[in-house]
Amino acid sequence: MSLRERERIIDFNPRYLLIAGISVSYLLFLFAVAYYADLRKLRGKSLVDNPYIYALTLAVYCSSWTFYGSVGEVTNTGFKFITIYIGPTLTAFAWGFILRKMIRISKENHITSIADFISSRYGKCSYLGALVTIFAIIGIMPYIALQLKSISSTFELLTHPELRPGLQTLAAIPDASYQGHPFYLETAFYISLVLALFGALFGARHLDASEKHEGMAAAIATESIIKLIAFFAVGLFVTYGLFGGFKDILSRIAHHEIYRELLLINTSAANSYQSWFTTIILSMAAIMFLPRQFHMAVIENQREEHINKAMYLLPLYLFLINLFVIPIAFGGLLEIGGPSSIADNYVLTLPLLHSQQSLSVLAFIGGLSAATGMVVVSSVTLSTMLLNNLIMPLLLILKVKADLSFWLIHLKRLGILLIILLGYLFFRIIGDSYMLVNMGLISFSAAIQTAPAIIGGLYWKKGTRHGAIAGLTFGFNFWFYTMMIPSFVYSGWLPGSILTKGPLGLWWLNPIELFGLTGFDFYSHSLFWSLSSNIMAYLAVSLIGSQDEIGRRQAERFVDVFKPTIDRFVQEKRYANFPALSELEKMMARFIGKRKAHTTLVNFFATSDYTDKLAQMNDQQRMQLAAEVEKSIAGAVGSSAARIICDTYMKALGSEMENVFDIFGKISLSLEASQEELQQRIKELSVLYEASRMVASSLDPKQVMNDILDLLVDKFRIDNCSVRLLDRDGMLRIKAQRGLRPEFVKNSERQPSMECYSGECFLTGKVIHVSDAEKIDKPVSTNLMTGQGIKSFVQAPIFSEKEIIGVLSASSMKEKGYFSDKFIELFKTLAQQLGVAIGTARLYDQLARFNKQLEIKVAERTIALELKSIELGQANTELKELDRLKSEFLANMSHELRTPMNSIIGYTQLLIDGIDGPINEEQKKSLETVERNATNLLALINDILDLSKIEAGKMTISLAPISFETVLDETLTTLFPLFEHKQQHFSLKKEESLPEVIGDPEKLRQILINLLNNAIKFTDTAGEISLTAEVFRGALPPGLDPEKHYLAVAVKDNGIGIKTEDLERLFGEFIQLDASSSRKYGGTGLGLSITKRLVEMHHGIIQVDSRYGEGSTFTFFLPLAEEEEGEMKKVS
Amino acid sequence: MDEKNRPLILVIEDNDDNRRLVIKVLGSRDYEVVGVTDGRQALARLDSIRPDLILMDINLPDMDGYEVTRQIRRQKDFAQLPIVALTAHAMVGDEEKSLAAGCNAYITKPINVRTFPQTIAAILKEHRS
Amino acid sequence: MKKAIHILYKKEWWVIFFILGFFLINYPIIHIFNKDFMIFGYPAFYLYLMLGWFGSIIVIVIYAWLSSHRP
Repeated sequence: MSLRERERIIDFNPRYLLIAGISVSYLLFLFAVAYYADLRKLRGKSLVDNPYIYALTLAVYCSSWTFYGSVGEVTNTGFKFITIYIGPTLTAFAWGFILRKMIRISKENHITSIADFISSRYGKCSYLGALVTIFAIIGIMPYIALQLKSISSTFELLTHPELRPGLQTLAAIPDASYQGHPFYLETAFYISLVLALFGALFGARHLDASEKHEGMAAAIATESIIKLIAFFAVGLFVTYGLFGGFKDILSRIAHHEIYRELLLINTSAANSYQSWFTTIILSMAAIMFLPRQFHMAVIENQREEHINKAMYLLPLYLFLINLFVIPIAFGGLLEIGGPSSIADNYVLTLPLLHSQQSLSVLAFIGGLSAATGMVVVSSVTLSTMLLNNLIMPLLLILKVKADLSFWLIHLKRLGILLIILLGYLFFRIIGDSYMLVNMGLISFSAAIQTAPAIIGGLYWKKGTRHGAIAGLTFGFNFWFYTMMIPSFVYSGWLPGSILTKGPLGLWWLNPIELFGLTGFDFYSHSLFWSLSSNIMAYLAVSLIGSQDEIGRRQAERFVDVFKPTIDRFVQEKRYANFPALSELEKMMARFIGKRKAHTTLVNFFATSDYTDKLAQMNDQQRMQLAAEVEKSIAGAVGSSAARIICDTYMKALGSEMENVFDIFGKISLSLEASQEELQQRIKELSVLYEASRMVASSLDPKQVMNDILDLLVDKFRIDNCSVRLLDRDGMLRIKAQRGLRPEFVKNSERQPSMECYSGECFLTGKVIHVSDAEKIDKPVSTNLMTGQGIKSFVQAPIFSEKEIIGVLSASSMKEKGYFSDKFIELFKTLAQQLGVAIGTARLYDQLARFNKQLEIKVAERTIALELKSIELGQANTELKELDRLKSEFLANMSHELRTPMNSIIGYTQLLIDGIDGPINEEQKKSLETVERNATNLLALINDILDLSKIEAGKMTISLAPISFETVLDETLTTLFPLFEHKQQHFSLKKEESLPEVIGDPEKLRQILINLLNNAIKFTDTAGEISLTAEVFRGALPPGLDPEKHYLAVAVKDNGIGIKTEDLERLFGEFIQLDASSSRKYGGTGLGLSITKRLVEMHHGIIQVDSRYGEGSTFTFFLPLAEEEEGEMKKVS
Repeated sequence: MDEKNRPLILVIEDNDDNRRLVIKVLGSRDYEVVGVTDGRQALARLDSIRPDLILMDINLPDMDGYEVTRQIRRQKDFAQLPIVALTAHAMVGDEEKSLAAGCNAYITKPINVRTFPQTIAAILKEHRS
Repeated sequence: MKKAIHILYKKEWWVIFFILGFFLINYPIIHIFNKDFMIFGYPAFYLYLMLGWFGSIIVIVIYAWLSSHRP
């Protein structure tokens, strides 16, 4: 076999074993470091939580390609290799923003890999995750093969000294695919196994991929140091050991005929400005989007602040490690020369050439480090992606229900092995071909295809899932077509005509001159087509299409990760039937293990006793718990798988995520989403409004109850609802209902007790909500409920004026957990409205009853009053009758008594006057006696009649302003004869013109006649009688109105007078003071009494002043007729 | 008094004693007096005679004095004829009633035989002027 | 001076440096140095690349320092 073939076979010579042993110990050393780091982490004193370590882990970017390949590159294309490291330097500038954002997002969402990142951003799309995973694997596989190759060949180089002389013989002849030894004899195979082992040991010790692999990070950091040191060592050796320093080497090259052109670029197609540019672009993307870079930079990041240091530390590292590339390369050229295929190994061969054994071993270790780092990290992260994005979804689709937590970790380890073996496979098949050498850039070109999706995902909310899929598909396909196909051709798999004439002769499908684009180098051409189609497809499809809800939400989550938000949980959804916490724990344990599941829940509830906490949680808290559970599972299986799992699990429990009546929820969605939401909310608010209106518009409680129940049934699709009210007999009865079976209604009346829910609600006044009717502990109710087919129900107390009067119930036969918290709020309000309505109605009722009672009372009183008035009327009538009788009697009396007297006196007078003939003196005297007596009798009769009239109140007096003088004159005229008869002297004293008085002329006459008659009677012959009439001006005697003015009329005589003791009795009836005086003086005795009455009827008074034997003065007062102003009316 | 013009007085009084008294008293004073006992007679008599004054007792049987007065007053000839009512002054408003019925004056019973003729003369004199 | 440093605190500088760096590392600027001449005995292009690269690192250091010490 050829030398080349030989180099790969396991050979158990001492050197082989030594180097193998050193390699393994080195790896063990790394493992020890890893182990130690993990221990430190467990103790809380993390070794890795350090920006320098962080930066060093990022240096995993420098694989064996850096270690060996760069040197080889220099001999080929001069300084072009440096673009691979300048790009990242530029990118480092932007890390402060992009990287920080990616890290923040990934931490918050428990992102496990780059595929997970993309999948999560675009709505937790598992298809996208799978796509990225496949691309990644295809893209990275050759890269791994490259590492294996370099380890293998350097190993051989070190262990087969016979190969060393004439290193030129190690010409790389592009070979056909390698066929030869069985794999189990190949060094590379065992290297792969060893690497897989360490990969598993470093990266798959526990399941949660979102947890840090501190051990692995420490190991990577260590290997970064080692490789730097190793390279530096060789560099120093070559630069200052073999030559005189940089200047020396450079000037030598500058003066070298052939090699001097390596000092410039753009000297060939391979190092054109175009390719320079392209490579910079590619490396700028690669430092972030290569799976291993993403993993170390984002997933393994301990703190965001480390970015600040890493920003310059990594470029510094890159600078340092590449510092000696040029010297070594040029030195090698000067020393060894040879084709560039062996230039790769100058790092080894130069020391070897100068018998620097330890240095060469160090160099080898350095190269081994570089390669190991790349392989381990890549395989771990790719295995995670494989597991989470390809295998898990597959398992879920196939509904595998085994306890996965055990299997997952093993599957992960298996994945690592698989990935590495794939790399090995690639290596074995492709062999030494052209491809391998250039694999690095080809992988870079694959990695950059994720850039649009990621950068768009970070900054453009409108980037949709379909856009990402479209972009990635286009990019990847173009990449494959323009890079892999030609590589297959170069490797001899496909006919060369494809590249010259195009496939099937179609020139425009030529993979390296697609659509006739010439003048581009290989990489630029591919980059152009793949990236531009990628970007355009991404943009176009995103803009044309629309996002679904979860996509939108994730977009916001990602793009706005730095924006402060109060509540990222959209509340309008809920889990209708939330599982018990113990069940949740079990489900979680299946994926992440019991211990982790328990810890997650403990952390969530902040207590280890959380089993009963579920009942106290509201919808929002449940959502948070669900999200937390999903997150924790995502750590193990990736976010898209976790989402599927959680959704499926919930569905299996018979619950769905559903929209509920979010009446008072925050309008936290963007305007695009809220159209429908707004309508829903308007509908819900209108429900409340309608209910209030119903309550307000009707006083009939039955109507209000029915209206509200109808409302519940219509708007909320509630199956049964009822209103129970407490009757006077203490029983709670259904007064109105919808949807209940009659037997239920019949059996439903009962006294409120704690044994059933309506009773409990009534007695405690608390809202009762049972979301699963099977899980209640009141046996009475359970039977009733399940008999009806009720799955969930709510009861709310109906209050009226702080007193509970009934219960409003609603139930659902369709679902458990039908009623959301927000609905229950509404329900409570409706119950309150009902309470108000019923209370008001009852009040009105009371009022009406009260009114009725009042009416009855009033009617009774009215009847009583009417009876009374009838009585009164009767009495009145009787009185009137009596009165009439009285009047009739008096009239009769008056007439009957007077008539005969008329005749008696008249005829007697006739005879006296001699009208019937002459009579003698004797006869005249007798007749005069008769006349006198008759006259007296008539006077008496008159007096009696008068008095009777006065007593009966029948004496009429018409008071009017009259002239007193007139009456006086008339009266005096008639009395003069009497004065003359007794020869009494009468004198009249009065003022000139007396004012009018209020009086009755007839009665006044009577008064005057009476008084004057008395004066005449009781005064002797030739006596003096005077009458004075004047307006009284002094102090009014008592009994008169001091406001008025009076006429004082005094009749004075000098007759016999009145004894003092008799003055009092004077005005009494039938008083004549002296029994004998009546014979002497005549008189009825009624006169003064009548006079007094008459004066009083004039509203005046009468006084007497008398001395016995000297005479008497009778004074009476008459009110003057006064003008309205109080002036006295003057009589003209 | 003029012999050729002795005033004619019609007296309507149902009480015989009273009527004869009035006739005697007035007769002695040179009046022509005719007496009737009730209203109907009076009205009938008035067809043939034309008194200068009528003395009407209010308390008449059958048609009372007021009514008689009213009826007399209806006849054009006797519209201005002085009618003096004789009232017993018993009831309320007797005087007013008589005046309202159409009487010119009233005298209360019992009649003062001595003054009564002068009252008649005064009324007649007043009426003539 | 203080004001100049104060200005540098602004976040937007990273965009400028980024673009500047990109600009400086590509054609046509590199074409200036990509010529057969020596500076201080070193090939011009080589010197440009090395010093430029190191210089950018220094800029990043300054920038990182500034952004972490932002008031």
